[in-house]
Amino acid sequence: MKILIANRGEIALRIARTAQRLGHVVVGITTDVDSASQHAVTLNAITVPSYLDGSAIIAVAKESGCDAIHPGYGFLSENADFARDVVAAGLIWIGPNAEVINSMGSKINARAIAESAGVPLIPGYADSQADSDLRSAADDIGYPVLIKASAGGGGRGIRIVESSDRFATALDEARTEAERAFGDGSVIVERYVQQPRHVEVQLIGDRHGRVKHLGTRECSVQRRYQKLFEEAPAPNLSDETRNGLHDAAVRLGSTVGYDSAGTVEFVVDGTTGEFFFLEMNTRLQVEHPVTEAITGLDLVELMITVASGQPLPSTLDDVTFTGHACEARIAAEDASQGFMPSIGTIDILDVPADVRWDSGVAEGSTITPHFDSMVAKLIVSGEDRPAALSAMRSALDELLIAGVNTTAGFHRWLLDRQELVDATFSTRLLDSIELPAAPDPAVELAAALWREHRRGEASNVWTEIGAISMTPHHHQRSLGLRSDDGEIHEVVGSSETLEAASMRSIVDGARRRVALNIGGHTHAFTVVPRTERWAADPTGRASGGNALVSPFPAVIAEVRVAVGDELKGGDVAVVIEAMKMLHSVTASGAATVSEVLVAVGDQVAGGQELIKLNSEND
Amino acid sequence: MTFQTIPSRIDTASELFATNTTAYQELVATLRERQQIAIDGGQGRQKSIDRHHARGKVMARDRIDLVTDDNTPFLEFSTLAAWGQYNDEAPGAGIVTGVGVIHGVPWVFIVNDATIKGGSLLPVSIKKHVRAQDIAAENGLGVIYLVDSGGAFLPLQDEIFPDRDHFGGSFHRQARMSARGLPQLSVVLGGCTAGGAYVPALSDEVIMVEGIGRIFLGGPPIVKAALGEIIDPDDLGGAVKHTRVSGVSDNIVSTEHEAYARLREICATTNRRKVDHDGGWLERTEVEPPAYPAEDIYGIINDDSRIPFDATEIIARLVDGSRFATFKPEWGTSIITGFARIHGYLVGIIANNGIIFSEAALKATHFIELCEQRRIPLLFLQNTTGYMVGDDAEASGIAKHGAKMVAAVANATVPKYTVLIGGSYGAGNYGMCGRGFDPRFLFAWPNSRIATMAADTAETVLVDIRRAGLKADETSEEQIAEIARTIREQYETQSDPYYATSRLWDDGLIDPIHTRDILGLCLSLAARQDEPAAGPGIVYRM
Repeated sequence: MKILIANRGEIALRIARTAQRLGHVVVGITTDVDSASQHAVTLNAITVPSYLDGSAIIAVAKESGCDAIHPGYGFLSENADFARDVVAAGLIWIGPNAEVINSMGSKINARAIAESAGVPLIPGYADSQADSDLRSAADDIGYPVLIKASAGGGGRGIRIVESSDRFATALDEARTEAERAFGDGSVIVERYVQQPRHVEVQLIGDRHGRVKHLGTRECSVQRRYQKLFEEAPAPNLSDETRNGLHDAAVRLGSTVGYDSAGTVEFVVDGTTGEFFFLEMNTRLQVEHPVTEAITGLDLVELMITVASGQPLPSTLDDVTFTGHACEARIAAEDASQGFMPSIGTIDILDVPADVRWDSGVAEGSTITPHFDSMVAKLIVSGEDRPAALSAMRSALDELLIAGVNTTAGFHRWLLDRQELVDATFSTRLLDSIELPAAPDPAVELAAALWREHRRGEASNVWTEIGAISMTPHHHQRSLGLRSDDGEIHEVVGSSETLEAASMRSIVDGARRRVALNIGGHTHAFTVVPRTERWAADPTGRASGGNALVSPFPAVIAEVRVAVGDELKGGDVAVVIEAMKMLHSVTASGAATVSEVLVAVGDQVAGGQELIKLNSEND
Repeated sequence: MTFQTIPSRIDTASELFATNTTAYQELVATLRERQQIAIDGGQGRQKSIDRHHARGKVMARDRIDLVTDDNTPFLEFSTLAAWGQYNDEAPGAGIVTGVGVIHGVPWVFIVNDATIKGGSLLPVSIKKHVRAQDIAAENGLGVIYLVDSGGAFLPLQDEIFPDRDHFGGSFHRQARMSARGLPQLSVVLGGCTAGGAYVPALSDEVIMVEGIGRIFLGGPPIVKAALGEIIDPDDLGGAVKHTRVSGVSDNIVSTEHEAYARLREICATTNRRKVDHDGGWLERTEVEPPAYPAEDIYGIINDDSRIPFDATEIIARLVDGSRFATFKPEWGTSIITGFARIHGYLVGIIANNGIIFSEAALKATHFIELCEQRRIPLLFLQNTTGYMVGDDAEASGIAKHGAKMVAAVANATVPKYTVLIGGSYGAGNYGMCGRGFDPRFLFAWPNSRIATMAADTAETVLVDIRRAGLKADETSEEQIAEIARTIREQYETQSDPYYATSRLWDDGLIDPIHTRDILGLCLSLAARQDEPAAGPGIVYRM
């Protein structure tokens, strides 16, 4: 089979891996701004106008002789029209059928179906969009209530309302935001769970009416409804709750005739163990690898199997869950700056062994502002949850990724939080605790590492002996280390000891780069030579002289400055003419014009002062 | 790997070893204290240092650190020049010299220390300046002058100005080195007055630091005296004037740091061989550290200088793997000769164990000729009371045999290096390549002694001579005792290594444990040069 992957980044590469392992041929797509990305290069991708341009993508699939399209996640993966068009074009859609996508795509619709399937719903109201009806529904449910966009996702169009009198304003805001984000201002009102955990159930169904669950995932660590850290299975659930979740998810899947990989998301009340239907995602989830880690299954393989009409393999009859897995989403963001996106080029990437690293970047990849900030998913597993968390800590301590800020350090910090260790978190965890400040740049250690590296490269008596002192004068050499934010740190004196010998680090002598991992953070520096560091900015230096003089006898052709003008190095002050040639008299550095001594047409002698200056160091 | 490891016979657990070690550590502590004074101590120095810093200026050794490569040593010369002279007001003679590395290329540095007598040049300062230039010329090194000097110290102008190796000699050397392709570069960080103006003016490239650097043949006081003109020093000879008007300087920079960035840039354009230059004439093999710790030397050298120590034990702590291929070990045993490697470089070593007898002198002569023929650098480890005297010795022709050794040393063209590890007495100093025989470098240990003869011997000899010249009845024993005391005092004072190093009879007093590294650095300088033209190359069996 020849499969077009209608996606980019890590998921395009992840789908390609399975497809190629199964002997299928893969066609990738890319866009003009994304053509240098890892998946585009690796998959020799064909350029389309946009990852959202369904008809162009289908055209590429047809032209390149594809049999099927896998949409990945995001982009067109939950676009029922696209799914329909793919099938209409005679291609296999590796995903759930368009009707399912459509029916689950609307929250209001999905709730109704879930209710009919006997899946518990959060007490809520979706019958009418009339303000008064929504208001009285909220009063009935009891505050706090949540108002959220019917067509929503990604945290947009959501308001929490603490009391009745705040309802009207919040409703307005939610509607406006929903309208702007989704083109649909419909909202629903529901109970706001105080200690909500986000737990989801992975489903896989075939086109022969079978739907199986593949266990739970915990996705409570979120920021503004964006998942950051996921686990499988969800910890701290009673058997009753866990089985209840499994059954409810399968019931819903069976009711809608679910025929691919999908996820039913629930809110679990951390205190009571009650659970409520949240929504169904009719696609492969970002966090699917944790499920694969504990089941030993390949969800992409299963999707391809069922999409080509085959029944679910009999091996799925006795799926067992082994151990515990977790996933850290490594995003190019600065957690200490409110998860501000960080752009740049990843120039050092060193991934520990024995982990699953699903990534769309390599050394040399540039992180642009055009797409999602997630650069990779780090997945580890262990025989139980403590072992898995411990493996994740070790992996984060080993990981080196330089050139952009990433959330790796944030994850490492999170893994030591008691809420995470005890699994007592809720989805509001990150709203309630203070995030760590950016660590101080590890300049001294980096300098010591650089010097140690240089000593290791020693090739003559001088460097082999090193900066020892044969008198009591200790060498005060200065090393300039530029951190990736551009700041230059000067380390003066010898930094002889390397306390953290076990610390993971890379020194690249040729590129003069040092990267080291402290508490999961990669501290990266470029060693800047003195010739660069101490050289003057030619336009910034004080002029030093107090006058501009004519270099030879000439006639003034032009006077370009007036008293009080501020000049910088290279600025033309006067143009003179001699031997029928024009010549510029320029300022040698920063200065202010204090007097203009000549006018156009004046004859001047060589060495004659033309302009008086006050230079900046006067 | 090819040479046998020297089996050490030193009992490092013995009481003697412990006593010696304690005593030597005190010698080293004294050396360190005195060096510290040269760096930033001495009477009233702090005031000058504060003033220097207040002007935003950097101390001499820190200036060198700002220019030289990270992770490399600075091979400083004669840190204790002028020690005990000039009322102790000029530690180090107000000048810092040595070899440092820039972009892997070794350079000689001559750096004025303006915190000592304003950087004025005393007689010993000139000697140190000229010696550094000679080291540069012989070892094929360019020179960097970091100039910050008030010029000649006028009260002693007669000892600075007119003679061969005085100020004029330094300019002669500067011009000749430049002509030989050894770059001469100057950074002007202070005054360059009168003769001092010729240091930058004779340089290939010049950098001036605005606000602190000044060059003039006659400063404002002389201009006023001669012409009646009153002029600001910066207007007369500042960086702007000389870089933009006179062209005496090529570069104007705002800060010292900028000057050193520019200097490193200029150095990168000089097209000089690096210290790891391929195809040098001395082959370098993989370095093996000595099998015995260098600190053992402290315990080997006897606190009581009358008890000899075995120089073989010292060699074992200087050479690669403590491996030594001895030459003629069964003959003339008071001199040890043989081959070893230091930091990978093959050297021929000649070391004394006390008195030099005729056989020992002949063996040494044979060995010098061997090294000359084979083009192997020579290392002399001086530990001698001199050539043997007495009836038997004279009868054996000690005078002509000693002369053979002296002549062989004088004519050897391979690089020679000398370290005073013990006594350096009488003609032993000559035969063992003393200062007069132009070793490329000569260093001394703080236990060393240098004189025509030991104080004990001098006392006996000179008292006897005096006694012979005086009428017995006119001379009391008290007078004789007074003469004896004076002679002993003179010899003890003058054979002290600090007396020697103060007068530049050596290139510096060094801690024995740095000897191996220092020799390695010195050898690396010779290794990047072309092979010196050979002498006659005859090996006589003596």
